[in-house]
Amino acid sequence: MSKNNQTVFIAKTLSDVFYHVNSVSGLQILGGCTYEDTIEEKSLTVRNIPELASFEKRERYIDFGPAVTLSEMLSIGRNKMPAILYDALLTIATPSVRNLATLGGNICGGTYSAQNSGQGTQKLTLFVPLLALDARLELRNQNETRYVPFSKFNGVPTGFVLTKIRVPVDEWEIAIYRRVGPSNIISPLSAGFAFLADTQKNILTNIRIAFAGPIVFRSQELENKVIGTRLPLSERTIQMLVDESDTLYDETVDSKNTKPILKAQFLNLLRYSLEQLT
Amino acid sequence: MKNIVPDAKQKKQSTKISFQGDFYSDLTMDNMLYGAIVRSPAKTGIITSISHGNLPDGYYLFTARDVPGSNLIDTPLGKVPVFSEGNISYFGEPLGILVGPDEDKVYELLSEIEIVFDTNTIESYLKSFEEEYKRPVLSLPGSNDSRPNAAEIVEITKAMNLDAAPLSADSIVREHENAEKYSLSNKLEQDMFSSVIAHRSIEKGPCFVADGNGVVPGLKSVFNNASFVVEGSWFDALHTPAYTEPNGAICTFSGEYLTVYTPTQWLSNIRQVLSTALAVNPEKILIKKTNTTNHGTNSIWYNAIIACQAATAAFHTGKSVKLVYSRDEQEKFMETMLPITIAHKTALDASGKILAMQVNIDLDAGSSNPFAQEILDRLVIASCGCYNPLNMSVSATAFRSANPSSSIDLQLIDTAAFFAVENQLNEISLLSGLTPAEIRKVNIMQSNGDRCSMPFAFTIEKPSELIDALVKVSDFNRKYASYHLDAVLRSTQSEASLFEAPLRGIGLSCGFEGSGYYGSGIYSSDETMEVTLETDGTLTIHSPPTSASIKEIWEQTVSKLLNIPPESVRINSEFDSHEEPFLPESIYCNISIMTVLLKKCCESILRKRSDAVLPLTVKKSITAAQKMSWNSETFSGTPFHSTSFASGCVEVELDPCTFREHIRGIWVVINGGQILSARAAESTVKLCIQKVLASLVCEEAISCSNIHVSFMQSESDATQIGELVYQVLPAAYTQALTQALGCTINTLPLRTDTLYNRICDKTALEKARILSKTTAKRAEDLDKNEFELQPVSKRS
Amino acid sequence: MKIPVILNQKKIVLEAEPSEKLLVVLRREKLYSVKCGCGKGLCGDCTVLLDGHPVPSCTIPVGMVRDCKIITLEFFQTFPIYSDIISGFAQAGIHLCGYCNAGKIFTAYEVLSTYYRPDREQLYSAINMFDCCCTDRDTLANGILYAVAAKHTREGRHKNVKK
Repeated sequence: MSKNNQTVFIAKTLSDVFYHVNSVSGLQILGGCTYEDTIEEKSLTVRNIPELASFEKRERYIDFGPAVTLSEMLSIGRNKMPAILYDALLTIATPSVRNLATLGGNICGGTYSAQNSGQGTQKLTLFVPLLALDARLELRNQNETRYVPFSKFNGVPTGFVLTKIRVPVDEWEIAIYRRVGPSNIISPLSAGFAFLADTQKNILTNIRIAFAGPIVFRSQELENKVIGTRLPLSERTIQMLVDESDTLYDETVDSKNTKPILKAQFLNLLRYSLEQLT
Repeated sequence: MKNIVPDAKQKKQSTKISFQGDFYSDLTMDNMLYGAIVRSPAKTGIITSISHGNLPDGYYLFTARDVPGSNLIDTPLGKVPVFSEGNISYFGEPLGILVGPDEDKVYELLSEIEIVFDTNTIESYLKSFEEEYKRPVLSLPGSNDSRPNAAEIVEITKAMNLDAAPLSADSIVREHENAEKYSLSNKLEQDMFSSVIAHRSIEKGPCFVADGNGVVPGLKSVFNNASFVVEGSWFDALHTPAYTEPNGAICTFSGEYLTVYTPTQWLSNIRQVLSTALAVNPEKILIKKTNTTNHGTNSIWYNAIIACQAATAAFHTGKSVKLVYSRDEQEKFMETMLPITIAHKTALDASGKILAMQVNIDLDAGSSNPFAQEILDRLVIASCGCYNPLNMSVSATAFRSANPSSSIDLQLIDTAAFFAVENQLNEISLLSGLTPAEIRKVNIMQSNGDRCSMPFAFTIEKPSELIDALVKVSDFNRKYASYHLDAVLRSTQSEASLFEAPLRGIGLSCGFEGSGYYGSGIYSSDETMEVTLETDGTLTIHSPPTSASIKEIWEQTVSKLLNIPPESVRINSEFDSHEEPFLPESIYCNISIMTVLLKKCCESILRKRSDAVLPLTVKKSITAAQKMSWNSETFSGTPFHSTSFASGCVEVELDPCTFREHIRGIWVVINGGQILSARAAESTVKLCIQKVLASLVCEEAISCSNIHVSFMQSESDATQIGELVYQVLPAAYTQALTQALGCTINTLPLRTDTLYNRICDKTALEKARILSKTTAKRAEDLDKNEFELQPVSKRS
Repeated sequence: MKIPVILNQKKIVLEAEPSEKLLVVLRREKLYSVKCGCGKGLCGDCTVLLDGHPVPSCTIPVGMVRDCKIITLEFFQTFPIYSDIISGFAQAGIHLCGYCNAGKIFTAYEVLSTYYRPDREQLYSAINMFDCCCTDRDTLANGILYAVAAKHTREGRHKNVKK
C-alpha cells in the first residue's frame, strides 16, 4: 500500500488494459511521462504491451501503436515516413527524452504544466503533422472500435483506449514543417506549422495547411479554395489567400488568450509556403 | 557511494582541510538528518513568529535565536544574517532550518510552517506579494480586527510558493524590453528599501583641468562643441544556465570539532564565518572540500552562510545535518543575476576620434553583496573598453534592493561594461560613417607608447593587427557594407516584402580579460607558488587541486624547463594548519599568474640546483613593485597583472517567417600570449562560446556550426583567456541583430519573441511618423491654399 | 508500493511511491552516478539505461519501470564498451567533471550502438541538444569518434555490417 494511495497498474496485454479501464475509475494511462510532472492516484503503464508498442509499415500507411517511442519512430528513416512527421520528431527535446516519450503521450498530453497560469490545452509537437496528414485514430474499448479522423479528435473518451494511429504515407511534392517558439520547452509561444502540397500539370491538386500550439487551425474551406488553382500562383492570389487566412484565423482563435506573434508567424509561414509553389 | 563515519574520538587533527574527490550531495552519514530552509514568503515585512504546531519526534526547527555564536556575519559591505532576525530584506530570505531523518517528510512539514507577520506591515507585504505574483490581492482576513488570525495568514503564506520568482531573467527582460532609456536609479528611488551601498566615480581629461582663466571647462563644453554626440543605454542581465551540483553542506559535530563537507570555493572565508556563527575555535573546524563544479554567482561567499545554517542544526541535535539546495533555490538564490544598466554619452570629432565619454553605471546589488565595491571598480575600469577617450567621466553606483543577494561570477565581472561600450561604439560608427572596425582602430589603445589619457594602463599587444586579422578571416568589411546597404534600402521601402532579401547583419566587438586584479579589497594580490625539487628528482607543486587542463600545462611547463619527464611532476594538495590557502579557489586556477610564478620557481631551481641540497623548496609571489603599479587611492595605474585581448564577430540571419535569428558564423581572434596547449585553448574558447550562446536568449540554447577560433602568435607570457568570449560575443550578437532588424537591440538576454516585438514597435513608430508627416504636409498644403486657419476660440 | 525491477542485472524490489521519480529512488539505493540536474530531462546528468536505451531518470515515475532493466553508470563501467568510450574521451582530451558523466557516456554509448561508423550529421544530431557545461561539442564529437575507433579495434573488423 502506498502512503498516498497512489497505485500504478501494470498490463501485459490489451485485454488487461481494457479490464483496468473498465474497473478503475479515473485511471490515467501513462506514456513516457516526459511532459506531465505528476501522475494521478490511479494510473496504468502500457510500456511493454506488444499490441501498443509496435508499428507496422504498409504501402500506403504506417500504423503506430501509442506506446511506440519517438526514437523508434525515427529509426524508420526519413525516406520511409512522411517528411513532416520525421522533421517534427527531430525537433522534440533530446535523443534520451525521445527514447522515453511516446506517440500516444504526445497526442493526448498537453495540459499546461503547473508553472503556467493560463487555461486551455497546449498541443504538443506531433499534433500538427498528424493533423496535416489526416491521420486516423483507432479508439477501442472491450466492445467497440471507433475510428476518428485526427481533425475531429478532442481527447480519448472515457472508457476508451487509444490503440492505433494510422498515418498515411502519401507522396507530397512540397512538405514543410516548422516549429516556432523555444526549442527545448513547451510554452505559450510554442506551435507547429505544416504545409503539404501536390501538383499535377501545373495545377494544384491537393493542399493541407495546419497550425497548432495553444490553438488549432486547419481550414478545409481555405484549402478547397486553393485546390485547382493554376500555378504559378500570382502575388495577388497569394495575398488574397493570406488575407483570407488572417480572417479565418481571427474567427477560429481566441486572440485575447494567445500571443500575437503566433498569428504573425503562421501568416508568414503560409506566405512563404505558397511562394514555394511559384 | 560513500557512507562516512566520523571519528568521535578524534581529538587532534593534523590537517584542518582536505580535498575530497566526491560530491557532497552523494555523501551520507549514520543517523544523518536532512535539512530544508524555511524562507520568507514576502519581500518585506516584520515576522513575529515562525512555528510548527505539531512537529513529530526527531524533527526540529531552528531559527536565528538558535545560532550559537553571532547570527550576523561580517562582510566587507556590512553584516549578513545567517537567519533573518525578523526584518525581512527580500523574498525567500532564510528564516530558519527544518531538519529531520526523512527528507520527504521534512519538505512536507516545511509547507506547514506557520509564519506570522506584524499586521501593521501586512498590507504592505500583501501589496508587494500582489506586485510580484500578479495575483488578485488577497484581502486580509479580519482586516478590521487588529489581531491577526494566524491560521488564515498561514493559508495566505501557503499560497505563496517559490515557483513564481520575484525577478527572473524572463521577468527582467519583459520589464525592460521596450525601454529605450532605463534608469535603475529612477526605479529604485521609489523603493523605500533602496540605498546606495557602494559607489565609484572617476573623471579624467583636459576638460577637468582649469584653463588659463582658472575656469574648468567641464564635459558639457566638450559635448557642446563636438561634431557628433551619441547617447545610449544598455542593459545586461546575462546568466549562463548550469545544471551542476546545487550548493549545500554536511556538518557534523564530534566532540568539540566541527567537520564540514562542502564545495566551498573559499576555505579561509568559510572557516572564519563558521567560527563566528558557531562560536567554535577556528582550529577545531575541519573542512573537507568536495568537488566544485559550479562557480555560480553567489557560491563563492554564500556557501559559508549555508554551512552555518546546517552547522546550527548539527550543533543542537548532535547529529550530522545535510542541507542540499533544490534546483529552484540554486537558481533563485545562488545564481541570481540582477540587472546592470549602463548609460553612455559620447562626443566625437569629425574624424571619429572620441573626445569624451560619460558613463553612468547602475547595479542592483540585491539585499546584500559583499563584492559590490569590487564589481563597481571592475565595471569602471572596463567602462571605456580598450579605447582611449580624451576625456572620461564614469560614475558607478550599487543599490540595495529587496531582491535576493546578487553577485556576479567573478570571472565575468566586467562583461556588462564591454557589452555597453562595444554597442555604443557601434552606434558611433553608424553616425560617424566609419565602419565598426575603423572606428575601433581610430580609438583603440595602442601599445606603441602613444600618450594615453586614460587612468588605466593595459598591456594590449597589437590590437589593430588583431582587428585586421578578424576582419580578414570573417570578411567583415564586405559583409557589413552589403548588409548596411540592404538595411538602408529596406528602410526607404515602406511595404517591402519581408522575403525579398535575407535580413542579415554582422557585428564586431573587442574586449580584454584582465587577470590578477591588484585593487581587490577582499583579498590582496597574494598569489604565491611554492614548488619543491625532491631528493628523487621529482618536482612537487604545492597547490590546491586544479583542473586537468591546468595540471597538464604545468606538467609540460616544468618538464620543459627542468628537463624532467611530465610523470615526475605532481601536485600536493595537503596543507598543514598554517598553510591553508587564503584566497578564493578561482585565484589558484588562474593559469596566467600561477603559471608565470611556476616558471619563475623553476628558473630559480635551475639556478640553485647545482649548489643546493635537496629537497629544495622555492616560493615566488607577485612582487611589491608589481602591486604598486596600481594606486588604490587615485584609482589609476595598471590594474591587472596581465591582460589578454580578443575581437569577435557574429553574423546573423533573421528568419522573416518566425522572427528568430540564425547565427551564420562566429569568428574570434585572440591574443593570449604564448599558447601553452593549443588543443586545450581552443576547447576552452569553444566551450565558452557554447555557454554564451546558451545565455543570449532565455530558455534557449542557440547553436552555430560555423565557429572559427584563431590565436595570434606571441612569445609573451600566457594570459587568461577562459572568459574572453563573454566580453566580445554578446555585443557582437546584438550589433548584428541591430543591423538586420534596423532597430537597436540594447538588452540581453532576449526572449524568443523579442525580435517580433521590436519589429512591431518599429512598425508602429514608423506608421506614427508617416502619419505625423502626412498631417504636417496636409497642414502645409492648407496654408499654401490660403485657407485661413482660425484659432479654435475665434472659430467658435 | 513494491516495484520489481532488474537493476544492474540483479532482480530487486524497489519500495517507493509510484509517483516518485526514478532518480530519487536510485539515489536512495546509493546509486550516486545519477545526479540531480535540471529536473526536466534535458541536461543528461541523471541518465540511465532503461531496457538498453539512455533515458533521463528525473522524469520517470518509478511506478512505470516495473519489470524493466535498468543499468546505471556504476554497473556500466564493467562493460567492455565503457573502456572504449573512456579511452576515446581521453584521446580527445575530455576530462570528465564528474557531474555529467552519465549523460556524456551514455550519449556516446547510444551513438556507438546505433551506428557502426557515424557521420558528422548523425554525431551532431546526437549531441547537439546535450547541454554539457564542461566539454564543448566538437571535443565531445571527437571523443565519440575515437571511441568508435577503439570499439572497432577491440571487436575486430565486421563484414557486411549495416550502417
